[in-house]
Amino acid sequence: MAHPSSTEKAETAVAFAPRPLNGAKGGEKPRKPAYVVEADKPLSSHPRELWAYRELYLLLVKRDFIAAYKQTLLGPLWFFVQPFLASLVFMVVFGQIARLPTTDLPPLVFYMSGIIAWNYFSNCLSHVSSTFLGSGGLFRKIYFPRLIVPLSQISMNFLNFVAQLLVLFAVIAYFELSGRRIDIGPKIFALPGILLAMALLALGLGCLIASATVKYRDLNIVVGYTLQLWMFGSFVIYPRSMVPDNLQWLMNLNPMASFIECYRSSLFGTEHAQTQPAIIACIITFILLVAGLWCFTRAEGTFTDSI
Amino acid sequence: MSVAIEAWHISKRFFLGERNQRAFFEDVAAKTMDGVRRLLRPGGGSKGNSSSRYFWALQDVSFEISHGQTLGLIGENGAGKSTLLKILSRITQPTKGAVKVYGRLASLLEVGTGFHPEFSGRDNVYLNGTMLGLSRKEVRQRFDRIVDFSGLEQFIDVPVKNYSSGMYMRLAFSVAAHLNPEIVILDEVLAVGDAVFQKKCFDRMEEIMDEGHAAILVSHTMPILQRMSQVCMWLRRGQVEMFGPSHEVVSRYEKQTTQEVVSNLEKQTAQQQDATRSEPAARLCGWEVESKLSRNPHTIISGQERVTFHFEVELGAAVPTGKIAVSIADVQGLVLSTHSSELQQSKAGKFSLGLELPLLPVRPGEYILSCAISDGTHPIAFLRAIPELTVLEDGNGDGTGYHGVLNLPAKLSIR
Repeated sequence: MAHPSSTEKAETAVAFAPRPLNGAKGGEKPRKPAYVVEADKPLSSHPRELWAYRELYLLLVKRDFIAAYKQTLLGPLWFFVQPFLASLVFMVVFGQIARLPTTDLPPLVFYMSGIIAWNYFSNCLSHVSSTFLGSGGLFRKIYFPRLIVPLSQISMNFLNFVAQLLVLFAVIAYFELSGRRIDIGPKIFALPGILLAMALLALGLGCLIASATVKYRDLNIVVGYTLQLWMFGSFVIYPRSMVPDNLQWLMNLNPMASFIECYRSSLFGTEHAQTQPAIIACIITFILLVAGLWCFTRAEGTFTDSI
Repeated sequence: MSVAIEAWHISKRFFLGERNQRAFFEDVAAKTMDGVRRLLRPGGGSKGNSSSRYFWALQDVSFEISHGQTLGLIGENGAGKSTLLKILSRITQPTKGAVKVYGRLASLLEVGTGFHPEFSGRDNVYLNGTMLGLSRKEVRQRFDRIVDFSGLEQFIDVPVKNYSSGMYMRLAFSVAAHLNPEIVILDEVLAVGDAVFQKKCFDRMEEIMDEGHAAILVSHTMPILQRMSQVCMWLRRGQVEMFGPSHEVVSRYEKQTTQEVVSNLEKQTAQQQDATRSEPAARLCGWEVESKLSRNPHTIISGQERVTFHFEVELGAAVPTGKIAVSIADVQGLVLSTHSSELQQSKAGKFSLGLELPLLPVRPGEYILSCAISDGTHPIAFLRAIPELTVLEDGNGDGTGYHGVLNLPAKLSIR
């Protein structure tokens, strides 16, 4: 390989007569480049790359899951106690004081099922939106497909959700034993799909916010605040039947309202999920997901540029 | 040899300044204006990048290295070295240009990134290894070697939060040193730990490079660069100042650095004198070196015997019981040798100072001579000799430069 050994700047420039980027040069370079870094092109666009890093993804899920339990004072107990306590508070405030109806379900089951689903979504969203702020140090030193981090965060939160769902089932079993019938029918097989939809919504919206935090850092504070308010519009503490007709359209614009409705409907069959809002929710989720991933791949290449 | 890395006209622009409400509205306004301008005059001119909030860290850098070659990267802080490495290792995008990388690249810009304090050394080896691109199986195959290299067998199942910082760095370097990539990017500062472990690090780095891989090495230690790399690139304010065989680039770089160090010192001295507005306590009127082989008064030939320096010093006031010292330092400021003597001058004025050295066995390059004068208790003057001393090659070498700091008179024989 002829190497430019000229010592003058001007000559150096000549020695590097640049070849066309994608111009084939016969048998000189039989190998394909492992990667190309180019202006205005995403750093990692190929899904195959994500697959190549699947082991890192698994290790990150494991790391975050174990670390979360190791760092809390009560350890794993906290995850089970927290939705329980919140449900009790809701039972008093919304059930006893505000006297909101809870369909045919016992208030504890109604609130608890809503709370664990909402926690799952809101934790996913807040973790994904802090991807660049939280893992920025890592991203500045090592390359790997950045999307691994939000995906592993979502998976970790899913595991937490499953643990809490088991507690919910224990509560349901208690009610069953004490003579109260709670039907869990075949609709429950739709549950994974609904949980996936929630995760995709959190991923899409989270990626959008994460990309924006690269330029405007304080956006993350807004996320925490908004999530608290958002819960009140998402059928966590009251069913759709409580909403007056002239406000139904507003609820239809909130994909999480529909997802939680579908989720309870698939678990207990007490609420009848409506098709139209569910379709609107899926369309919104899809649009947010595409936009979020597009912004994310653009942000990952330039997020170190703002000092 | 096949190509390992090709870089075409890389430029990188950074944004300086704060992101705040004003910046946000300015962004929006600028984008709108841009759109309007493009509507009115389609195809006419790009964005008016007159804004001083941007800074070009790299400008039009092109190069190419092959497998089996090591490229040394030199330049002052802020010359764009790290930015270039980050672009090569796919951490950030260039603003213009492109890079093609052939083969698996491991970039060790920092060791131990991604270590989690709550986890054991064992878990962190796996985590860090997969993060750096190995599969779990590959980590398992290397695990014993990694632990062996780190010397931390006893502590491998202890959470790393209980490690000392030295142990932490040792484990981290050990993982990095066993990646077996085809292309490696190394920063000299990676050599960590105590002297023994540092030696091990350097040996391992050399081994990695000897394994026939392509490498890019960043270093501020010129002898290391000359020993390890065949070609060097000198970056200066984001541009390629020089690209070529290591010894040529290194010697030019050293000369430039010396001149800058000296001129900075002159500026400082001038400022100090302006500040005090008084006569300097002493002045170095001139100096020369006398040697058999060189005619130039400021140049000697490396490896020759017996050189004599003459300094002409002018005192601003009498120094009845003082001391004077002459020192020789290299470009990095490492003092190689100091020679002192009593100074008894009962009146102000010029005197001559001689320094005879039966041997000055330094390798070719630039050296800084200086005189320090004290009145017995306090230093009163620090004088730098201008120009610096140039040591030339003796012509016996093969022209590829000298390895090491010293050029001792020696004879190597085989019996």
